[in-house]
Amino acid sequence: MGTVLSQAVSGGQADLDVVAARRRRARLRAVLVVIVLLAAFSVWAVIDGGAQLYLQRFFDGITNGLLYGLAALSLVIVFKATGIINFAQGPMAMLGCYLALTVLEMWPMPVLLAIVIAMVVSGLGGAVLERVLIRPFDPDNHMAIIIVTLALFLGFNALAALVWGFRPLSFPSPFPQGTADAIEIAGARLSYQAIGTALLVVGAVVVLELVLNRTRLGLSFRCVANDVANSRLLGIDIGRTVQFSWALAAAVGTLGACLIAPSTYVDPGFMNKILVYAFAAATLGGLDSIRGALAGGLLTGLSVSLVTGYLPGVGSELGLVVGFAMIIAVLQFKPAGLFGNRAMERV
Amino acid sequence: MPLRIERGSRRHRLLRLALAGGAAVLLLGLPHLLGTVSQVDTLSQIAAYSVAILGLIILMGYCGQISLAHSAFIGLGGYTTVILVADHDWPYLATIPVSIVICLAVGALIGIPALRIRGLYLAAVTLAVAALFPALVIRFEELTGGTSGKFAREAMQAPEWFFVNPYTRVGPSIVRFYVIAAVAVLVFLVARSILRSRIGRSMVALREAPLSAAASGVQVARVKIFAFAISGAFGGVAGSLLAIQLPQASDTRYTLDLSIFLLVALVAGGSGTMLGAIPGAIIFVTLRTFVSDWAAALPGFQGSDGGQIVGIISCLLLLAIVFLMPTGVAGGLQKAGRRLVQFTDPVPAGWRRFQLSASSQPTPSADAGGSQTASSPQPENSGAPTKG
Amino acid sequence: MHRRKAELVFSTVRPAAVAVVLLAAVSLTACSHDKQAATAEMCVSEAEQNVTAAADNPNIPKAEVDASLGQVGDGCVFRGSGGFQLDVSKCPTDYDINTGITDKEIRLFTSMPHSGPLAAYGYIGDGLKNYLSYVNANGGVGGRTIQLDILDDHYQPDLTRKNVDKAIQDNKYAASVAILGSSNNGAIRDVMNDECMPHLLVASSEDRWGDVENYPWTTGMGLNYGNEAGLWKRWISDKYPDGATVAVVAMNNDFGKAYEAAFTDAAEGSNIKIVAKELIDPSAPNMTDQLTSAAASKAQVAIFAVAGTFCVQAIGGVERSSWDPDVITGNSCAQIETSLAPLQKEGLTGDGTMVIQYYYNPSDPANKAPEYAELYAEQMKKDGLDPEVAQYTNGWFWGWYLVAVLRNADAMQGGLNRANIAVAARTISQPYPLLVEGLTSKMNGVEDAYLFEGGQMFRYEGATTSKIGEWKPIGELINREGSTGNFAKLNLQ
Repeated sequence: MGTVLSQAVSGGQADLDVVAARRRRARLRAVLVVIVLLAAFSVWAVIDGGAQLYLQRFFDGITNGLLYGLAALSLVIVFKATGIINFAQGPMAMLGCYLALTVLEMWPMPVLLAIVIAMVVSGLGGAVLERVLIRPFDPDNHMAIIIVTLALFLGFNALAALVWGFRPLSFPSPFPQGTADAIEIAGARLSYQAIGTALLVVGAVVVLELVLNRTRLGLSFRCVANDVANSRLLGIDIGRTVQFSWALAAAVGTLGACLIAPSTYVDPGFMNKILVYAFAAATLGGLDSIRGALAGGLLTGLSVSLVTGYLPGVGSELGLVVGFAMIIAVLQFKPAGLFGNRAMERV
Repeated sequence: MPLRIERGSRRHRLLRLALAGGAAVLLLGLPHLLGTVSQVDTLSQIAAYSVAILGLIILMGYCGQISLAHSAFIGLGGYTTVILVADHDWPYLATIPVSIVICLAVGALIGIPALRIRGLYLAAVTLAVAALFPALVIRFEELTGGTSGKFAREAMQAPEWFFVNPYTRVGPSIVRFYVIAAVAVLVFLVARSILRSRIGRSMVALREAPLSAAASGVQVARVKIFAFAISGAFGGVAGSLLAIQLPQASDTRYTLDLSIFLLVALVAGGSGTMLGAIPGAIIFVTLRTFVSDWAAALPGFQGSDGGQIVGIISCLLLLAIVFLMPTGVAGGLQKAGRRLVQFTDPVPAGWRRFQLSASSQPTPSADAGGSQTASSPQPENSGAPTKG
Repeated sequence: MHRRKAELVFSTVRPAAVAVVLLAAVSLTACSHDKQAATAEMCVSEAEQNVTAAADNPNIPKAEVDASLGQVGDGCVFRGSGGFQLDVSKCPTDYDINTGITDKEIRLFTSMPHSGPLAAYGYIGDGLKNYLSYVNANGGVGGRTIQLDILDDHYQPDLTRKNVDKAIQDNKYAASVAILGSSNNGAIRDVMNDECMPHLLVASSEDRWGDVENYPWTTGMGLNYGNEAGLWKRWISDKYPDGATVAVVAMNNDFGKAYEAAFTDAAEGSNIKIVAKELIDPSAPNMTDQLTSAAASKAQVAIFAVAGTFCVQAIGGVERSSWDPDVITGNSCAQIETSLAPLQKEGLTGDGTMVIQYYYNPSDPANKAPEYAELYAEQMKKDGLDPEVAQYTNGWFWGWYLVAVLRNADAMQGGLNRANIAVAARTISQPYPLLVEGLTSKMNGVEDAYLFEGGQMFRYEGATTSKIGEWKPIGELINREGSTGNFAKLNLQ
């Protein structure tokens, strides 16, 4: 990848195009295989349990998958810039959600506004964390940085439990969420909440894709993740880049937590539960791909709800098992996930 | 000016003998000094968990592979022992080889994906194993006792001729500690042999430069699978030892949380040397066993706040270690130790005449690099002056 | 090469061999180990009885026990009601029935999770302590104050065991109370009974805590799962005499699985058909998949054996779906503030949810002892605790019966000592002020090893999206007091 990048800089455009095209084809093939498998399973499922049940399970899978994908986004953002997984992403998002809740309690305002305020504050918080705890380490010193995130994981969880206790709190949804607020398709219900969340998630993915793939900033993200020494030579401000990724991830994480919260309720552990699935989603999609996170999330959600729903002997308590079986299967064929970049793998 | 001792010399041997003797006296005497069941059992847990952390050190510290699946191996070992003892009347010690075989096999199985999958993708696979384990335990209820847990009614008994009186209250605990400590010492010796062997050095090569290692004849696949298998087997032994300490196994004991906290222990103890497992286990068991109750006794806290204080203290401890002592407690101790005593390799016979004097040798440079991390163990002879 | 390998093996074996030889040598000097014979001193009770010291206070249970029970003569046998008898001479040689009890105080301990996924349950200890401080300020037990030490076990059985081992050897505790968790209590009940430490009012509702013959020192407390599931079955049979279809959704842990097994047992052989059984991984973020599968069964009754946020998710999920079953939840979802009130912010109500109740929560406006509820809120405030946390109210619930046990023991022959405490724990008759009307709570030795054996189906009614509703009793009170027997002779029909 280092050579690819330098070629790009010096104008080896033809080679780059060939590589990119090959990569695109491989990606397309993998996604097609997954879709065909899913479709075949679906036909069997409809015959087995009827269309209405199938559709409801499909909606369940999509709705949950969106949430997993949303949580996976913030993991991917940090990974793209640093090459590490931020273990503290779950607790950070959880704190952001409590923050939004506190803001709402103190000053009555529209939910969306509260979410935006919480996003801004947690973005700043993320930047400060990076400056104080991450910057002192060499960006290549992955072990030390992972340990810092592990420490934050433990600390933030404990802090939230100390401050807010374990009582489940409800988080108001920015979308209508009553009994009647759903559309019915062939007897299966898809709530407005799910539709609204889906729109927001897709919007977030588009914006992030544009920012990270079409701007100089995105290029510097990839550059730093790939080769710190080279980036330094190219004049990229590594500290700033990583700091921005932390801020962005914290803000996106808070958005995710606030959209997830209405369906899971808020307690100190709620984002950790999601994060395990989000990690699965991110791995499945490729740890360095924004759209991969979304695709991985949807795939995880769908496979969990369909496989536990239809395969006899796989009880619904084994959802996590199904999700991870999926990962192991996919990684055997695509070791860097469906959308991932092979050259990026490292720890 | 540190004291210099040549490896293999008489002084070196004497020093090692003294250290080994001291350790043996400590291990034999400590339980008698403590004298209460809970303290001796805590000591047993430290010994057992040090074996588990040793497995992690081999895999993560030496071979550079990430694993979150350790809780599952400890669980496998634990269940193997409890089930064989409770349902099939096996003696406790006889179950350990069975645990080893099972965990070697499962460890090797997990190692297979590692051939193709790397880094954090591999971490996801091991995470899957850890998350799977409790669900499977509940799934196979007839075998494992399900959510109520599995118990063996009879704890391990010492033979009549043993010198510890089993009829005192603390007696059986001391006996169990001796057994656990003896097995643990044996495992440490085995680990030392492995790490000094060809395959152990291949692991380090693989971690430092996979491509060069492969180029110079290291069989990458075999070494990786071996590392996973052996680390799993150590986890299994630890599980069996914990089951000897308390013959009970339940799904709540072997969760992902255990894997995460073992990782914390690994880092805190120091993953660069085998001996890091001991401070690691002490820190792990202390955090888990005592800190919560100490914290709850502080003024201004409710009893239930104690658990949260453990989280915050773990956080601060990790941060302190990563900032101040990046090679962990063991690394820090080694560094301090080098100020007092330095071991030098014997100079090959034909070399003597090229040397000016013994004191002009370059000083060891193992800890010179500022960016040395907790992840990079220093093999015993790194920085040896003969290199130059 | 081979030589090198041999050297390696040797370097491993040599130190081990040295160690083995050393151990053997030390062992040769071994003496023979004899068990000491039991002494008679351990049964001498030092307690002074001063039962009259307690003032008449409706918020603290009074002693209600036949004063002829307790120590038989000056011997080591302690007699309780219902054919129950404890022989202390089988206890360890250094056993003392007065440990942990002085003229000024009684020292007890408990072990609970204060971290991890079940840390919320650790609040029971704080609630219990809060009630005890009220009792201590109002006479205590025969002038003694009750001191409770709360130990953390992270819900890990090995740590529960360590806490118990320490407590036993510390030689300052009279008994344990309200230790939480089924595998946790399972890991300690052998040692508790071997060491003759009263293992009081276990905070787990499995049937096996009523095993009087094998575990005389262990007593359970809450309505056991078998009884609760039996009550569900009765209610369903009454409403659907021609048979009904039921979907059971349970958490995949000790608690959920016990409920599920108990209801399967209860429904066996009847015309109630379980058409769907769904389990939820406790670490799963939500339960939509399980709800969809359960709804697909179109069962007439949905039973949710869940706790924590899953209560809200289950009740809200059914309300939002097109499925319209009778919703029955486990008693763990009975707290309005945590299980039903959060629904309001989402435009839901939770109306129609049913639960077997046997006692009211103090915050429930329908409770029959408002002054007790007021006292609860006041005491909570004193310690800066949030009265709406369900586990604090459970702490008070446990506290009441603990004090009942201790005061009964104080009134028995021989006064307050550990054997009498264990006997008194099987001789309880004082009803909790917030018990459902008509319900009794009795323990009667071997004949009745379960404190609660009844309850009433309640339905949540009158809730709107802006106002919380309340539990209204429906159906008759079923009180099977005394007919369940004990674990060896369990009668749940």
